[in-house]
Amino acid sequence: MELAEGSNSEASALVASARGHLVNAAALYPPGRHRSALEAAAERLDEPLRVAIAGRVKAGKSTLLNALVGEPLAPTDAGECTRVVTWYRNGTTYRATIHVRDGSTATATIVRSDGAVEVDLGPVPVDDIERLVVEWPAAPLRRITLVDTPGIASARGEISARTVRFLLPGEEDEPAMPADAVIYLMRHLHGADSSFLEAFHDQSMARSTPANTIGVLSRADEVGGGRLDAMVGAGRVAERYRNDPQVRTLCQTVVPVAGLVAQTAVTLRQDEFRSLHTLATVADRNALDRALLAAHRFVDADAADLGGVDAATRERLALRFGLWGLRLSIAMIRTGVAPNAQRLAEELVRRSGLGELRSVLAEQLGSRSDALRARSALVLLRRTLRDEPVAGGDTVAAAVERSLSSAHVLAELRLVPALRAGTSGVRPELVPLAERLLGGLGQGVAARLGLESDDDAETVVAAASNEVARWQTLATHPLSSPTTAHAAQVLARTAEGLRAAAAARRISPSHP
Amino acid sequence: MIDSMTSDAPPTLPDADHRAAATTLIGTTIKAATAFGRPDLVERLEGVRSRLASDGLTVVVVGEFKAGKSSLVNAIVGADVCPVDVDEATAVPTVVEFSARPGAAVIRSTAGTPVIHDIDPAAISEIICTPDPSLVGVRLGLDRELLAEGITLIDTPGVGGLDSRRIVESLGVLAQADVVLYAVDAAAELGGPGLDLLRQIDGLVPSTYLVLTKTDLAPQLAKIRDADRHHLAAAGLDIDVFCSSAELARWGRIQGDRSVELDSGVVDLVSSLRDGRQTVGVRAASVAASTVIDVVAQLRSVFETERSALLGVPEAPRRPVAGGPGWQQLLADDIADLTADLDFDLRRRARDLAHEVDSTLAEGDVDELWPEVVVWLEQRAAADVIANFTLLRDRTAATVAKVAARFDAEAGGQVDTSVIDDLARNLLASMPAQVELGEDSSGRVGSSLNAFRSTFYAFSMFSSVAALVGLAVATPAALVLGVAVGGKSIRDERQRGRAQRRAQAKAAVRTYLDELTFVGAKDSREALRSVQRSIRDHFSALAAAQARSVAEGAAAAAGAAERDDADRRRRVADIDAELARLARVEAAADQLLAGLGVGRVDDGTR
Repeated sequence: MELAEGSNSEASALVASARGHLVNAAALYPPGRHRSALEAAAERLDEPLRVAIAGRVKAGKSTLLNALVGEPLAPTDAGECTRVVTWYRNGTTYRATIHVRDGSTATATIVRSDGAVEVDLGPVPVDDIERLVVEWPAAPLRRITLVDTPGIASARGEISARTVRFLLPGEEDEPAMPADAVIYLMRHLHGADSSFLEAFHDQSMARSTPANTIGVLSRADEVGGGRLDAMVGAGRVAERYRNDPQVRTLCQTVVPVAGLVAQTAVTLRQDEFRSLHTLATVADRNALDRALLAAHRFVDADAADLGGVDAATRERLALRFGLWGLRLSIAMIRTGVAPNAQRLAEELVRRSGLGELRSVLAEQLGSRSDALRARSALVLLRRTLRDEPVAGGDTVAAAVERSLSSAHVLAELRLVPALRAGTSGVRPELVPLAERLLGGLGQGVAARLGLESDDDAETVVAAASNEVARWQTLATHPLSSPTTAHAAQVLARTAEGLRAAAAARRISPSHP
Repeated sequence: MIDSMTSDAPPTLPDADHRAAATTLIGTTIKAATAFGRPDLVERLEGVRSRLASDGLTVVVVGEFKAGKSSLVNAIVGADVCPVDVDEATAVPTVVEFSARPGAAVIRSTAGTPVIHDIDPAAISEIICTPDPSLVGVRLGLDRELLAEGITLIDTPGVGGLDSRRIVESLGVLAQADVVLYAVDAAAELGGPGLDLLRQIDGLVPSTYLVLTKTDLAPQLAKIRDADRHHLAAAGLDIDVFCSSAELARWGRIQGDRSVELDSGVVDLVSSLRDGRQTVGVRAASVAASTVIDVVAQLRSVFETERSALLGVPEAPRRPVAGGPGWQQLLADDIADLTADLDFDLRRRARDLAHEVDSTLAEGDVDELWPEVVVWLEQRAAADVIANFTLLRDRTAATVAKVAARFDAEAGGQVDTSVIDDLARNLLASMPAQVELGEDSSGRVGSSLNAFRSTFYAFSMFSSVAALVGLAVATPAALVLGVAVGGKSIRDERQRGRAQRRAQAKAAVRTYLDELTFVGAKDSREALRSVQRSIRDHFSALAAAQARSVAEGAAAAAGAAERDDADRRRRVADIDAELARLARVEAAADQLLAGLGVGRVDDGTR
């Protein structure tokens, strides 16, 4: 997945100043725990964004992780399989390290079986494991470190507790969670239910804000009953979630994803395509349709009716594609939409919703990656300086405080949840405009101003100027409350930034 | 006098229809009791007859959101009755029952009084899926074969986030359910909360089935099913697991392809429900037969007393007259004990809960823990209310058995156990329904309205405690402020106020639990009062009938002295003929019981 590099120079500057603060502070502490924690935080600024995948048991977290990485890394099974918090990060070699709660580490054995990766945890009791770190050379992991979490509300209470410990290590006003952002998987719920938000309960414990959380309506193919138009129904459900005021305070957007099909799409094999092709061209269409009424019928059907594709192959196909994936793939092969394996994979990536999820991740999290990481580091530093006072720390603390309060990108990050929660002081009819300006509909300059990307520079500059005027007027209006004025100032400054970018482009049109 | 009955052959018992046999038998006995001028016995028999007609199998479908409950109901009934949509979900309990003329009705509760209105069946989908606080329930009447057999299905709104609070809301309905189908998506195996919920439900109803739905989409169905069986066994739950695919069932039905329908698994489930219906039928029929035997015994005793007097033979030892303060005192004492015990149970639970909350709050940051504590507290409170209700039900059944034993000892007879069980079972469901007919409601909803009424009365039972459980615990003002303002600026301030906020949180928990205890105790006191009334009325009527039989026998015996010899001989012959007829009725009742495989318990007493 392609995550955009730091979106603007201000965020990069913030990362640099955060690194400076961390280095300065680390020097103040004697060698030991606090010093190494700060040094580690500084190193982390250079590492990829950490994205945790959270959600209820069997929501399809590991499946989605595999789809994002493009390899079947995380074990997926009918049962409950993710038992410890597992990090998947880029590495030069294949390696798995167990971090034990007492601070020690141990090496775990990686076993590959049938394409999937299995990690043998060895003699360390599962309860003592703080996290498992799997290093894996994979291109998508260069941009992003993925964290798989055990489900919440597990049949085995201790597994849930491990997730909660991971997502909720710090205090409530300190987003000190180890992850910079969260992909929250939800299965189908209904807004009319009083306990609708309870499914989000664990999510709210992650202290994530809509700025760093993306909701995924998982197993979207099952929402629509596995019919060919299943994703249309799932899209409707996701749309309702997106517009739900409660969901809006929790995540930026909700994307429907058929995780199983997505995972299969990115790992599709030629022999699978061949089998599907055979099935798509069987003479007895009726027999095939009847077999595709149910997964078990597909597996149990007579091979003679299905072009000689044997039962074992069909069982593997059923597990890899699910009923919806089978129906869709066969229909696409039959109609010529997917004449070869590569086209089939592309179509499945798109239709499973994985394509949309990738671009949302790149747009929303990727462009904020620097700001999110800088904020994590600064917040950690502030807490360390407060809880573990050290001589000379006051100066650094003041500088940290300045960075946190004055950095415009962080002000933007804070404004997003306030807009969503209706506490920003911005009039409701202006909230969509404000969200768009902050990149809610896309990070491009034109998108943020509500223009088409091919509009000429003159138009863009004019639109940006309008926005600057709009928010400046509000910021300086005598009747604006302090909250409103503050929000308007932040937005005016964002608009100024856009105007400057557009103006620079007008001067050198050769470099759009 | 009762010639018409002599022509009745002893009923033969076709396996399928115990109810018809029992209904015929009751009809015959009613004719006899009417002929002998015993309106009191007729009334009792009429009661049994109407129960025989209305008592069916009540199947309640519960489960998580979008678990496919409505589709399951449709698949069982074999018609698209309940609205099914990708996104919309059932928001009100929906009763699907037999009606010769298809129709629909809603119950609305305005100003506390539930009122029934007929509605256009076409509008049903919108009504069922739109949350509306005044709507208590929806009733759909259909003339489907399965429903005609006396099976009623109740579709319920989903249990969001799997918690006990929804169970409390439908305690009343679950209390009278014969079977609960717990629907769960076959995509995943049962989790901890699901198992807890199943355990609570299983404690409340006679039988619970786990139904895996949407099995057509599950490539690993066998694995999931086995894992679920394993989880159930590990939890010590004896619950049958069924697989069902409403999609396959519907496809098979529409295409007329029986093999696909069989493959859906719904057929197995339906036949299991029919077996359940059979069991309920057996229960009702055996209550009917036992009642007939008792009525016949009373009628016979009148004739036997007269006959002895006519023949001048010394009268057989009289059955001791029932009544006196014995059993009534026992009943009053037992109910008083029960009231106190239930009250104590609830208080003890509330106290334990308060202690647990206190120690949790003492360990950590109140502001951080509070949202979790609230959810946890409400769920625990709901589980406690359910446990308290289960205790109420079990102890009530024990009281009925005790009172019956004492009554028997005093009366020298024996009330059949099936009658006692039946009485105990229906105590909580047979309370009078306070449902009014709306002005626009014509006779369309028809004769089965009674069952509908009692169903919805059950919904409103325990509603006050349910409302309380569903209500959020009040969050202390200081916590609201803390959460809303947040941020570092008031951090120190918050540090200082922490102890104070902890005290406020504890006080809020106490207030909530006090209220819960108060309302819960009030609910169970009311239920017990009604239970006491039902038991008293039941046994008082028995006692009055027995006393009347004795008195009539004595009066007839006194009249014997005034007859001349020829008159006496004619009268004895008449009486012998009547006794022979009564013996035939009794034989028929015995045969019915034997056919039910129940047998008679009180053979030696006559």
